[in-house]
Amino acid sequence: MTTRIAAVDDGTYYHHESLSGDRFAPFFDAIVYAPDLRDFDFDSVDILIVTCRTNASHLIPCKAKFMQFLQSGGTVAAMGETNQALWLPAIQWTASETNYWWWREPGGDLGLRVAAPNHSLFEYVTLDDCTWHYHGYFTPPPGAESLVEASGHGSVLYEDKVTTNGRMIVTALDPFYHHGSHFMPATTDFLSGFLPWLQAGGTSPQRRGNQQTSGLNTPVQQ
Amino acid sequence: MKQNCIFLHATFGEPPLIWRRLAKEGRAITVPQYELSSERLAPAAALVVGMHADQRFLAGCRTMLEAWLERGRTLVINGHIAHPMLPELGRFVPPQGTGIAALRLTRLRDHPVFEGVPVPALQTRRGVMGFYGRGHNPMPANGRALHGIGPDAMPVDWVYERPQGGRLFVHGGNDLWGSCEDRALNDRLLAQLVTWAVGVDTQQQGAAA
Repeated sequence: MTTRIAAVDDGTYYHHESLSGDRFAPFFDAIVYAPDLRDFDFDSVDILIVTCRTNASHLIPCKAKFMQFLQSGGTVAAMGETNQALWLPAIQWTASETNYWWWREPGGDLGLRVAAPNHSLFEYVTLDDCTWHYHGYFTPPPGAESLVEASGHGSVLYEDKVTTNGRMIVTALDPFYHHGSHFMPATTDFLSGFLPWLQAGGTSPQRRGNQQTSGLNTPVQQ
Repeated sequence: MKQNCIFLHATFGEPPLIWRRLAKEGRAITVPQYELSSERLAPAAALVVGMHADQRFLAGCRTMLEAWLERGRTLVINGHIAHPMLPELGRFVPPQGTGIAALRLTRLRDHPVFEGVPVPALQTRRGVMGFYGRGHNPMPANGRALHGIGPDAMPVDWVYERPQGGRLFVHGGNDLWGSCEDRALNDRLLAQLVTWAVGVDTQQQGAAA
């Protein structure tokens, strides 16, 4: 059975590039313009990705629709900078200062750690693929599984199968924004694993191929 | 006619602090993007669109924007153009080539917006290049490039006097007012951008660039 994936497009250039660009467009069965979300039939898909930085003013009016979709077994992937606590249940978020420069420091380490190494996601992405920066962290509810932790803080990526009958994948990471801005190659690597993992249903691991990022979007040290 | 500047507020919550400060000083007003209308635009000399704007929405505002521009107004666009909101705009062209050479900036023309803002302040942050821009929005014929990027100095930002009236300032990178590591320079850039954008007598279309 094919997993049907929809993704929200807030009309920004970076959503356009990430969702309609050749690289990832084949993963999406539907692209939903954010102002049209209220009229979208959530039940027409299995997974709804709310892309990074989608304006929460489009999401808050759909809070009941998200809940209904989740209770009917749907999956919501709620990406970074979308104010998840305002439109999804059981979200506990703490904003933090963003360290953009960890990679320039001696022994540079952003402090992220894989919290569930046996989770199927890590058949598709590596810790390096998850590592660029984060803008805060979550405290997942009891029973949810943290997948990537910011050491000493909380989770930056977790899966919650307990709060509803469906599944919430909640993250502080913002790969659609940076990939769509031609910036930060780790974000392209992340999506190159994350989207196939979603497409596979998140339960039947298969190793991803040998796609390499172009390297065009790397910050360059002078 | 009141010569004010509208910042189109596209993100959730309050507008960016730097714009709230300008608004407090009476130098700009912020308008939620979906409230943009002919009535809101009518008294404005300039409209500034940021990198997080809903370009699909703006593309649907083409007729309204053209009519407003033809009255001699100024439109400032930041970001990569994905949904051209005017006929003379084209889709963003990603960087050609790799490494430092593809990201190197060249000042091609002095302009009041960049007065006192040296190229090195735009070029690097903590010695790292690539924040100002990576790629460019295609410039119409008779546009005037301000900075070039890469070995071929492709126009990463440019100004254009529209033959039909009005003018454009297009910056193909992140929001211009966040370009520099030095916040004072960012403040200066934005102040100069707003001053330039509203500074033209709206009765004298295309009098300055």
